[in-house]
Amino acid sequence: MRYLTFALPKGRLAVQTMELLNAIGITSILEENSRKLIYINEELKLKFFLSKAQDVPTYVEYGAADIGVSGKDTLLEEKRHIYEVLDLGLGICRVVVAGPPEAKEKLYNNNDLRVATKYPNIAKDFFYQKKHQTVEIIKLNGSVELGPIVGLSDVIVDIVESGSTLKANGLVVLEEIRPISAILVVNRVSMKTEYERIVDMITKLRKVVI
Amino acid sequence: MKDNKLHTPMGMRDFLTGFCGAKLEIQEQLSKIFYQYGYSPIECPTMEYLEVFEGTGSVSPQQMFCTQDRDGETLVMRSDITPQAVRVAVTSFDETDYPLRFSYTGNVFRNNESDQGKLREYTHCGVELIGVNSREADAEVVALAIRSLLAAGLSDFRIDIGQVQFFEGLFEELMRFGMDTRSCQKIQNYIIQGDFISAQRQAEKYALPENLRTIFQELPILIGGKDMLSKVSSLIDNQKINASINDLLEIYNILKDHRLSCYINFDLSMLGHLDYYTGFIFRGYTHGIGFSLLGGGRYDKLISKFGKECPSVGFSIKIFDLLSAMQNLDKIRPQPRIETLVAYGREGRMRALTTADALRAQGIGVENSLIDAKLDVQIQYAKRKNMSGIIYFFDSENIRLIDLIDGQQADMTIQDLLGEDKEEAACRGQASSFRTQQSEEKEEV
Repeated sequence: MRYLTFALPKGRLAVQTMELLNAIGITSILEENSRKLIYINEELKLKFFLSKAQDVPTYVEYGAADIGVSGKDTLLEEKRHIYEVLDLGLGICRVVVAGPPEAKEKLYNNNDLRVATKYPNIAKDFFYQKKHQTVEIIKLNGSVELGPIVGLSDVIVDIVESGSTLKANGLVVLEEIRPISAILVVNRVSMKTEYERIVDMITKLRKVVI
Repeated sequence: MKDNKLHTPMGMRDFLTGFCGAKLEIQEQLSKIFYQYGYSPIECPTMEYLEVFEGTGSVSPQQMFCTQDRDGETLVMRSDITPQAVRVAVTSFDETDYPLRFSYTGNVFRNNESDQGKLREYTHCGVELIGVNSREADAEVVALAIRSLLAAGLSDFRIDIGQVQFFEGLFEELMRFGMDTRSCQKIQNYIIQGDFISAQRQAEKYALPENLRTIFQELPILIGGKDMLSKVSSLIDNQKINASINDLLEIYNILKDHRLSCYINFDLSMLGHLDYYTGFIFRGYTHGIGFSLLGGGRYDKLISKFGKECPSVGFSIKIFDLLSAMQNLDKIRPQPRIETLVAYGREGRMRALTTADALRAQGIGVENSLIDAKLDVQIQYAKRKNMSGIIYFFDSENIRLIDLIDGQQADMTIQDLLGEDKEEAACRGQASSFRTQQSEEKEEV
């Protein structure tokens, strides 16, 4: 039997995914705070590795991992050629357009809106394809909330869980783009070459996912 | 700023000795198999007028490299060879020549995204079978694909076959329950993108009966063996779906007679990434390569764009992915190396050159040394090039033989080395082939 390789995003999502896998009898020895990057379950011929969340779809697309867990936000942003097979119901949040309350008006009648975001593809897709509005996208790598505060942009496109960070910075949700959660993804070729094992796993997981 | 003169363009590569040799060898092997099945090679230009590709459902214009010639015509680097083969079929042949069997090897160009590790120039090797609409023709093309992978030394691979009309049937069923064309289109796009979750959510917006819901709830359900086909046909009763499934079963049965059905699986969720496919489609996969190695299918409508009605089927192999698969399995044979260096002093030149040719005629790789230097420099050079020996000609008789493997050197005469007979035979061989040429010329006169 060949090893099936899992790519998990570092952090809370990896721990939660392992809990789900434990529930279907896949136990593993993923230790929190360890610096080790690869874990092997010899009995079930499974390998697990932790990677940066944004890189999971890339590992899976190239077949470096057969299976992965990735946020829908990352999948929409990366647009990789993979199968999205199961919503794990973890890491639930939303992608929104946010900004100071007065920016709301600008959203509807403005063609030089400046949008700061970590997600340029999601933002383009929303403004260009759905709203048919030409905007200027400014890519930032974190603390996007700063954008409107320091006058870099009019609004931001970002993920929001409770909304407390926005509130603390005087920003509000202006428009909802879409809900986000963690998705089980599979390499297109592995889905075929390891069909039985992968489908068996999906079927079992489907039962434990609420 | 990077110094462009030192780099190849993004996604384009140089291929050096070892890899290039392996690539040429596998291309030759594939062409040979294609030829043995009756496919004759064609070669088309690297650039075409944009119109050849436009509106064919081939690669989108955004993914093409475009330029203009001095007459203001838009030219594109070919992004796909199939439309070219079709153009050839329409312009240079007519119905009486059918079926046409073409094979090709050529580079295609796609202006892919940067920084995703994707190439922009790659080699496709494939065939087109034009003028026949039958499951036998479909099966022949699949058989040829399988034979190609086997010839490359692969054994653990699978070919998935599907039918794009399956979805037409499925959409008919969905529309019976109130789904509109737009929703169907959305579902189709989700499935092409591999996003089964969104496809299911879109379907759940409608009050679908249990059997159709099952299809979307377990979307990988559409991938599998023969039992999957019977499961699906037990879930839905639709004429188009039944016809698609019967088509696939028939192709499977013919491949059984080809004794190749063990490589076949079915994937009803397969939709071509190229829009010109109208019926049966297929892809080939192997372990360790994240992408399909080959792909193809039936494109009965493509030719009508060129003004004729003509059913066709074909496939192409992505040579780089095939080579990576071979590399993973250690199936790439090392290229034969140059065995011997022939070096000489001025006195020995004529004998050295004729001896080198005699050795080449025996199939041995021989390099004429162009280094004008002492013997120890010659030895260093030959060692660096991993050769096994040097023959140094002092004059037309006396030579030194240097065995680079055990380090032994021996002085001898050329007769000692080749044996009197062999050397004479070699000379005679050369002379006689020359004579035949002359006598032929005389005969013509």
